[in-house]
Amino acid sequence: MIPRRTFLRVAGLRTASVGVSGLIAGSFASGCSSDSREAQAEFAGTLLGTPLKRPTQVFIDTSGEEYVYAAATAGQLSLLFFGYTSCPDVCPVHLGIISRALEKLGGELERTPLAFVGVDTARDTPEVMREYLDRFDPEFVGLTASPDVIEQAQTSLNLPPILIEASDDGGNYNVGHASQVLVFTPDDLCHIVYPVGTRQQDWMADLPRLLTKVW
Amino acid sequence: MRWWCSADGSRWSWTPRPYIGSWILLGALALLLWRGGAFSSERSRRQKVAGVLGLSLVLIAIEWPLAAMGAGYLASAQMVRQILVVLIATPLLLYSSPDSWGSACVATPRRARIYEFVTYPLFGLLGATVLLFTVNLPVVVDPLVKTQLGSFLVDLVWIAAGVLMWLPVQPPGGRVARLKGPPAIVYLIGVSVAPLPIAFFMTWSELPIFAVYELAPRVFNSLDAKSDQEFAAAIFQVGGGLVIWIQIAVRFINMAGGTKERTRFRGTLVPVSATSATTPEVTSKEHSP
Repeated sequence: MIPRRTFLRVAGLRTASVGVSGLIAGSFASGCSSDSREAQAEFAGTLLGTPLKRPTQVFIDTSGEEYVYAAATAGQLSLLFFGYTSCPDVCPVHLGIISRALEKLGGELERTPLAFVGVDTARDTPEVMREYLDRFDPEFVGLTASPDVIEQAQTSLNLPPILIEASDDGGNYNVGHASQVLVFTPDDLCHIVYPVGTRQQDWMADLPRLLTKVW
Repeated sequence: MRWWCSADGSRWSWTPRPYIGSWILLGALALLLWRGGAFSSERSRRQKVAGVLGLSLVLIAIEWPLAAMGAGYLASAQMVRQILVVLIATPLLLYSSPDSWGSACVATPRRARIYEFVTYPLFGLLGATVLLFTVNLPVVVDPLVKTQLGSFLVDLVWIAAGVLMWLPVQPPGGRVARLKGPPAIVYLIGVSVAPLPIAFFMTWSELPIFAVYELAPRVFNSLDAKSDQEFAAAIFQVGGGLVIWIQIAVRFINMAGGTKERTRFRGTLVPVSATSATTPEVTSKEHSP
């Protein structure tokens, strides 16, 4: 597992991740009961005390069509991740592990939709995102929107806003973003998030149970 | 500056990042060899070359980029390091080691007893296999390579395993090998089997078994954690096996040459062990790497 402090330094996410951790810890603590403790022990992810609703904002997918996440994935087990295609560490690790896990799971779970929202709107064009996601799984959905829409979606999911670092001499820059993958269950709520460090074996153990779990 | 390689979770960079501990260890090893007389004029050219080659390979294994890549990013790089240290550098350094090292091993009755025990072939083979198996277990690798001290410990265990593995057939300078000829070849065949159980789980596991390599930022986008793990197993099994079989072939050729030498004379050639007590410098030249 990537040491937390190092990851924060690398991704420039100190502020953002602390905020997210606080929110997750707070929401978990607020609903902490013996049932929730049992449920927490059951899954590798972090359970949220207050479930989140699917975002209703209108995104644009990589084919240029409008895409409303809440409508497109309603009633399905689905994953949502905010990242950027130039990310050197967290995004490719998460996407690589999830694509492998879904492929191994096969059957209905192999078709679990994963939507990747490109938060670096200047560089994450639909074409760039399509090419990037195809490296992992052509079924992954790439979404973009104006910075305002992305921020609204993140706010609705209790995620912190992105942090764009100063660019280097070559014009490259890092973007601080929330590092967890949100999992929406068939009840259209997100009860659990998966932080960086979640392994393939964790996804393979949890996804089948998340598909059938009654909350 | 970091003193030893370890997995720090940062993205891979091709910017050189030397480790001060690597140079200290290498310097100490070179100094010990030098002061012991490993590069003196009495030593054969082959032994000197083996010494330089052994030190160079140790440096490659413990220094950036291979060490950094192996400790924090790719299991396959870690396997290359392991082969370099355990199977190649260690026997080369033992071959090039000065006679004073061999004498020091048996300087006291107690040391002589210990030396006698650790050069026992079964002990060497089992001891080395157990050590290597242990430092390739995910529950050991994952926590150890995250710290510089832990990663240093892994490297030390490799050296220890290498010494144990090779002592029965490649003793330090001035000592006579416990196994020679056909028994040494049989022993080496046994050694060639040792990587198989170690690499077994890496080959056949359906999932990446090392968290540290699975969660590491990718060095090469085309090499995911599972492929890297399979590649690592192949390197250890095929690469390691190849190194040992080259040793076997060299010894076999030397043995065949010795047989021809014996048929050339009517008299009985005196075995090396009979001359070792009086002319250690001669025996040390007759060890083969």
